[in-house]
Amino acid sequence: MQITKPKAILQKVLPLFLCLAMLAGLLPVSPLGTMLINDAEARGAARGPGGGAAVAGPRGAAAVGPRGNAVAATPRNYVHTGNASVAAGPRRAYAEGPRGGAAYVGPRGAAVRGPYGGGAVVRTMPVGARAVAIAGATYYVASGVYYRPVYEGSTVVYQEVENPGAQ
Amino acid sequence: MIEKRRTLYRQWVPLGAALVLSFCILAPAWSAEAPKKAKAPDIEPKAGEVLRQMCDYLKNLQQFSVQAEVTEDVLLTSGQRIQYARSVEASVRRPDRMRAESVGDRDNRQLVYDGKTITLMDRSKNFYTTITAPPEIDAALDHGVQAFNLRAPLADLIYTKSYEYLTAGALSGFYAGLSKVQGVPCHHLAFRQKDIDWQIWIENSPTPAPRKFLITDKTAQGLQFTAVFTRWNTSPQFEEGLFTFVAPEKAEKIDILPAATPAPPKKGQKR
Repeated sequence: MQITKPKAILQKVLPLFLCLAMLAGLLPVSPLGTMLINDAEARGAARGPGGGAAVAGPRGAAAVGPRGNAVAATPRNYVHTGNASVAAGPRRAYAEGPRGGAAYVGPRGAAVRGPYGGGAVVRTMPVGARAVAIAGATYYVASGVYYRPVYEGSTVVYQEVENPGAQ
Repeated sequence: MIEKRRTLYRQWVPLGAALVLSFCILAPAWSAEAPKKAKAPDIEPKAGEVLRQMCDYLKNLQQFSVQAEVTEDVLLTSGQRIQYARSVEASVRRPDRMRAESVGDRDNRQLVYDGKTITLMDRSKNFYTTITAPPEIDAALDHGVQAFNLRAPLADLIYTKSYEYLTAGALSGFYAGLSKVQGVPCHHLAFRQKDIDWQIWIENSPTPAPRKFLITDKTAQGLQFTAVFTRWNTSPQFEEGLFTFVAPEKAEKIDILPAATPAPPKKGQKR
């Protein structure tokens, strides 16, 4: 479990970012947020620069980042190089893995909001996802969560959407 | 420890205000372009001259096609770094036609610009999307980057303003000597920016084309992107329909997410 170095950095950087977050009104204080993270964990999860990559809190807290970018607890060495991409399931929060592999589950299955105010976005589908065609469009479903493929920059990613069959 | 923290809190407000201001000014996502208020870069004259020769040469090519072998580092969740590879073929016909194909370990992608729209296609997944674009290559690329975060490290070489874009974020640059890339003698230049260091090998000949391009991402543990240009063709025979996108059967059109912070570009802003 990461201890010394990231914690030291967090302790120096966190007050500045908390100030920034407060000024921007973006601390995770949504009703959903308060259900899922407590103060100690919110302190632990910090936001990265430019609203992008974030660092996991010491207890793997899942927090909502700025502009709704969701961040989930990540394993020690994972390096985000852009918007943090996680998908929310009703009971799971996880981060992208390489080549369709590794999905990491948040410790309390936190459900978080995604970027752009819409559904959370993942770059690789979780293990066990299957494709379904609904009204001529392709969706993927995993653990009861539906995803729609969408371009982000020049790559295809998957954005969580409401169950299209139920609309 | 506690005292340090107290001092930090005292300086909290002005520091926080400064941070807010700097966040408003700086672009959020990393790219080769720097904040607009960069001070004059410290570029060695010989390096600047060689780079400018290359850029002048490229921008005066009315059409060309080039093949490149690209390798990119990726950091796995375990901390292990591995390298993925792809082959890129780009065709450009100035002022308003462009096509790029990228076939590699992870995907098989395509970009087609026909003067009116940019179409991105993922052949391995069979999805594509279309963006309305301005009628000229530079403007179309700019639009793609600003509105949709399209990332194409090699696109910097295609702009007619390539010299300005390549040196926009440069803090320093120097001439590293002569080096051979695939047997071709080249000038080796090295530049530093805030978030990346990059190097370029430019043919030492009357046709100073780039032969190798290497980017080191300092914000991501030194992950590297390398492109070796294996073939330049400055009088290509473009086949009919090369710059027209035709959706394959069963390919599905999907949406594209707007960039996270779509700030409207000011006049004179480089990117």
